[in-house]
Amino acid sequence: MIRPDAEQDMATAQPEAASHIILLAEDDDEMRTLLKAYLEMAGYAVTAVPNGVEVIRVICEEGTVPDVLVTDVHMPLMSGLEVLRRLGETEKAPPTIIITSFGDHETHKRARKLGAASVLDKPFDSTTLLGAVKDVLEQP
Amino acid sequence: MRLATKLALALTLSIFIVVGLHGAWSAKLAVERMEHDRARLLTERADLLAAAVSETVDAEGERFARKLLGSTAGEIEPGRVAWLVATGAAPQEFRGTADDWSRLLGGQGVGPFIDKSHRFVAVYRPLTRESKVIGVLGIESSAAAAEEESRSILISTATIALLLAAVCCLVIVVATRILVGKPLAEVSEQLRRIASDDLSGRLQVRGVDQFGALANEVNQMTVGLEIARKRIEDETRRRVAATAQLRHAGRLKVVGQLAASLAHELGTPLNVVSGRAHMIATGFAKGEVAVECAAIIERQAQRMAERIRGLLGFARRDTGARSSVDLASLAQGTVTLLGHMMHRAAVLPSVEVAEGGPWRTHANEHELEQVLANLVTNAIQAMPEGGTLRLAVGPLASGTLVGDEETPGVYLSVEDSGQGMSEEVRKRIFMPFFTTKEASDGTGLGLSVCSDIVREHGGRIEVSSEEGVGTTFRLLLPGAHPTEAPADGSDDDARAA
Repeated sequence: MIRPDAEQDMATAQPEAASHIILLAEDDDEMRTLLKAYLEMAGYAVTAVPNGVEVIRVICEEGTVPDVLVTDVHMPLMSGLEVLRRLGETEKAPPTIIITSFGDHETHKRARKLGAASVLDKPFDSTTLLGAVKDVLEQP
Repeated sequence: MRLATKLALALTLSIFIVVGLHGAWSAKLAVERMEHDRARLLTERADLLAAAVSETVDAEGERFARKLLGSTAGEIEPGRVAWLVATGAAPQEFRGTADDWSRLLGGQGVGPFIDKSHRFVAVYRPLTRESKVIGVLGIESSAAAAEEESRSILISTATIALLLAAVCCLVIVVATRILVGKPLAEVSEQLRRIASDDLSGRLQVRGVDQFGALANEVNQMTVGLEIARKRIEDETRRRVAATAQLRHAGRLKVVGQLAASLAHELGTPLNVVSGRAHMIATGFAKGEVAVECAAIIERQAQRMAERIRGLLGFARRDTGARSSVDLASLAQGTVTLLGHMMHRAAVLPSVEVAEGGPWRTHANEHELEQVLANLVTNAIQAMPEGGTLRLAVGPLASGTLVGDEETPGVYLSVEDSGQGMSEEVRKRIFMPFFTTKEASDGTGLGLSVCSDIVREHGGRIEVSSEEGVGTTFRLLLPGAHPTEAPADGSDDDARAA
C-alpha cells in the first residue's frame, strides 16, 4: 500500500534516473497509465506497450534494449513469462521485473526460474516499484 | 353378470336337467308298465269272454250269444268288443297279420298287439261251436288313458323340477352372495384402494376358508407394499438430496475457481485505486487532474463491484424455477463471468449467434449456467498454452428435433482449440467419477452432472473431439415455445453481467 512518505518519490525526480530507459508492458490501460506515471515522475524514460508481442518487437526488431523491463504476467497474445523465456534465448535480455497477482506462487517460481530479477505482487505502491527498479539498476 | 348369479344359473340349469330327465324316464317307465298291465287284463278278459261266448253258443245258440255279447260289450272296460266273421280273409279292422288270422281260424288265440304309434292294445280269440271256429272275438282298447297318465306324470315332474330349480336358485343366489360375492367385493375394493395408492386399509379376515386365506394374503401383500413404498420414498429422498448436494458441490467448485481468479483479478483495479487515491491524498493531483483521478477510482470500484456481483450471482442458491432462457445472453454472461480466467490462460473467447434469433429454451437458468460454466472451465483447462474458445448459438436443423416434436430444437456449442481427447476417453466422459485430471483438480462428477441436468431439460449433450485439434461440446435443447414470455429481466441481467 502507498505510504505517506512515498510522496517524496513521486514528487522529486532523481537526476540520475533520466539516463535509464524502462520498457513497461501492461494490458490494462488504467494500470499502464498509473505505472508509467510512477516511473516518469521518478525521472525514467518510459516506453509503454500493451502486450508481450510489442515487447519482443521493440527489443528484437527495433533493437531498443531497455535498462529494465517491467512486465505484467497475464496479457493477451503473449504472456510476461513467455516474453521472459523468449528474451532468455537471445543476447538482448534486459533485467526484468515481473508483475503478478497476490499469492500466485506458481508464477513466482516460474518467473524466478526464467531469470526474473524481481517479482512484484499486485497491489503495490510506487515506492515498492521504484525501489525494485532501483535495486535492479544497482545490481552489478 | 355377477359370479353369484352365474353360479346360481349353472346349478339351477343342472338341477333342472337332472330332474327333467329323471321325470321323463319315470313317465316312460310308468306308461310302459301300464300298457303291459292293460294288455294282460285285456288278454284275461278276452279268454273269459271267448270261453263264455263259446259255451253260450253251444248251450243257447249263436244268435243268443251275439245278443248277449252286444248287451255286455259296454260293460267290458276298457275297449271295444267285436264279433268278427271267420271267413278266409282277415277283415280290415284286424290288427294282426294274415298268419295271425290263419292261426285264429285254426282255433288259436292271438295278441295282445301293442301299437305304440296308434296307442292301442288288441287281443283276438276264436269263438267255437262244438270245437268248430264260427267267429273271432276281438277286444281293442285305446291307449288314451295311458297317454293321459303319461302327460300327468310329465306335468307333475316338470312342476316339481321347476319348483326345485326355483328354490335351489334362490338358495344358491343368496348363499353365493353371502359366501362368495361379499368377500370378493371386499377383496376387489381393497385391491382398488391399493391401486390408487391407499395402503392404509386392511381386510377383515373371517373364517379359515379360501377367502379367509385370500384376505390374509392380501393383507400381507399390503403390508409388504407399504414397507417397500416407504423404502422407495426414503431412497428417493436420499437420492434427491444427494443429487442436490452434488450439484451444489459442483457449483461451489466453479465458485471456488472464480473466487481464486477474482483474488488475482482485483489486484489490478486495487492497484489503480490506491495509486490514484494516493495522488489525490498527497496533493500531487490537483484541480482537473484530481477530478480525473476520482473518476478513474470510481470506474475501477465499479469494475470490482461488477466482478464480485457476478460471482455472488453465480453462487446464489437455485430457486428451481424454469423460464424462457436466451442462449446468446447465457453464453455472453458466462464469457463475462469467466473472462478473467480466460484472460489469465491466454484463451481468446468469441460468441457467435445465428441470425433469426433469439434462440430460447425453457429451462432452469441457474442450472444451465452451471452446465455452461463447467464446459467452459473444462475448455480453459484443456488449453494450458492458451487458444481460442468459440461459443455458438443457433437453431438445430429440422431433422434433429429434440424433445417436443412441434418445436424445433436449439443448440449452444463450446468449441476449444485444446489438446482434444482420445475415442476411449470421449466414450467415458459422462460417466460419474471418470476424470483425466489430477485428484486435486477434478472429482469426475462435473460432466456427469451436466449430462443429467441437460437430460432433465429434455435435451442431450453431444461431443466431438480430435486429439491435437480440439473438442466441441454441443448442448441440444428443445426450443422454447415462441409465445412463451421470457423471465422478467433475466436476459438483461445476463447481458449486464
